[in-house]
Amino acid sequence: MSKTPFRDVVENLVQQIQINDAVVNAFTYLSLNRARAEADVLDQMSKDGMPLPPLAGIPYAVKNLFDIKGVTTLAGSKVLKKNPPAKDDAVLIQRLSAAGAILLGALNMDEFAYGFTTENTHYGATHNPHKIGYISGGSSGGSAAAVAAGMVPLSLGSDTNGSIRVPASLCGVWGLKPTFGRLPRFGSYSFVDSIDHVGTFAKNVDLLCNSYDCLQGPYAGDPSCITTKIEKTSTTLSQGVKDLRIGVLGGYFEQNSGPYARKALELVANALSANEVVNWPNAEMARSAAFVITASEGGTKHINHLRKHYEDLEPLSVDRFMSGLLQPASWYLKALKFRKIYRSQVFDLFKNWDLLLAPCTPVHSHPIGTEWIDINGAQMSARASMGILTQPISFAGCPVVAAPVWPAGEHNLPIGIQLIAPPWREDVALRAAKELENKGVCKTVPIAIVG
Amino acid sequence: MNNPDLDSYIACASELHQITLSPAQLERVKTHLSRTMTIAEKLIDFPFLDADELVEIYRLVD
Repeated sequence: MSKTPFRDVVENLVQQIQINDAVVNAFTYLSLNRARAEADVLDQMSKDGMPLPPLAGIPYAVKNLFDIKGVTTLAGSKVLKKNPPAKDDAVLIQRLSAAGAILLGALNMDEFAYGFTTENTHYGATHNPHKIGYISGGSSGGSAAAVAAGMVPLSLGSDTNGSIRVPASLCGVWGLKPTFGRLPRFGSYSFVDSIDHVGTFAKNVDLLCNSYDCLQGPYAGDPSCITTKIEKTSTTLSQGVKDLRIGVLGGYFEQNSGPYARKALELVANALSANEVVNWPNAEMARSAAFVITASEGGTKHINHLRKHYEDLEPLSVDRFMSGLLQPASWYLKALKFRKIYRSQVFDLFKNWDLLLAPCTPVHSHPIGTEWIDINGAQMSARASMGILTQPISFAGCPVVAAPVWPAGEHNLPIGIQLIAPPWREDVALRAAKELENKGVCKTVPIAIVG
Repeated sequence: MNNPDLDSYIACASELHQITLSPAQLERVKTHLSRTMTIAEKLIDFPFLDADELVEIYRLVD
């Protein structure tokens, strides 16, 4: 059986990207020459009868805070545009390249990852492929939209307070935020050192799982990466969930979920036979502490940008960075102190549970430019509130798969459910994801974008 | 919002960081800082114990 050459696959995809992205605005850079060269290497290996690596020919793109050799890393900003090109690929790109994946470019995001909407003033908003004119979510909005639009089946993103799970939810794709410290962040532009995670978006669970397995492994040059070994998840992916104790988060999570999110949660809970409601400890306080730490570390990181380029920074976040810089140290220290207690409370909770469920976002996507949203009768800031359900989870460092649900049918907007596992148990969240995909409860839905 | 103490704090603290804010910037920063102050109050009131010391703050998982 003859196989389509990798080079042809790339050329076809590039044509699709050029058409679709004129509407979606997910890409900020296309690495055409590199993609062609990587495809040619794989074609030569095929021709020579050599065994191909595990992700051979899988096209992918990365949030533009990951270093791409020879390209300036923007992190969604204008002020970094004059920086020299990166000398090397980020570690995660190196690992995907080694696994045979083909890099197609860099993707749009909220400036310096401080946002949940990807309404980027400098590079334009990234549109939701399922409804043009609606937000893609953020801050990894380009990464989610590129997968949702079928431009690439795989992408890299980062998640501090929800920046993988929120856009995965709004764009209806699979997302994986691994345990804090699992994947090396080296070569990515940081936002909040003590909370930043890196992870993936994919069009199906097999790819989410296989790419994650290729990304794992210790990296000595990165103090934030504390994993010591590779724990393959592909070997257990199809084990099902019968042996798992699965609960549904109530209290804070229920109060802050709109009816659409609750409907999606019900569909997932029924499919996984999760009947018991579980109380996550101190969720509201955790959100507060994450908020304070984010602002403080973020503001401090950007002190020189605030000094020299205040007017050139993203208007939607610059004043929040400044406010964070000015926060009294006592607030930050109290938040750190709380985190230590909170972490042990969350770990204790998982002595009785293997997997917990909660919506990723309180509502589905809304029009670009929306200032306020209604959550169960309360008017809340549209830009800040999209992370209300994700922030307490990442603050504990737990691994989460964002699973795409279509509560009103495939022609309506998606919303994601968090499959939350204990630290270091990505395998459990991925097993549940596979079960939900097998049952047809969660899936990506192909779309045709009309320009 | 009329809080002259907060205005003075922001003006003074921003100068300390060698940043001079325009009146409009100061007003917007004040809005954010006031919100954060409300959030931080909950943390200040949290019943910490003497044993709740800050150690190894950057390592979230053992």
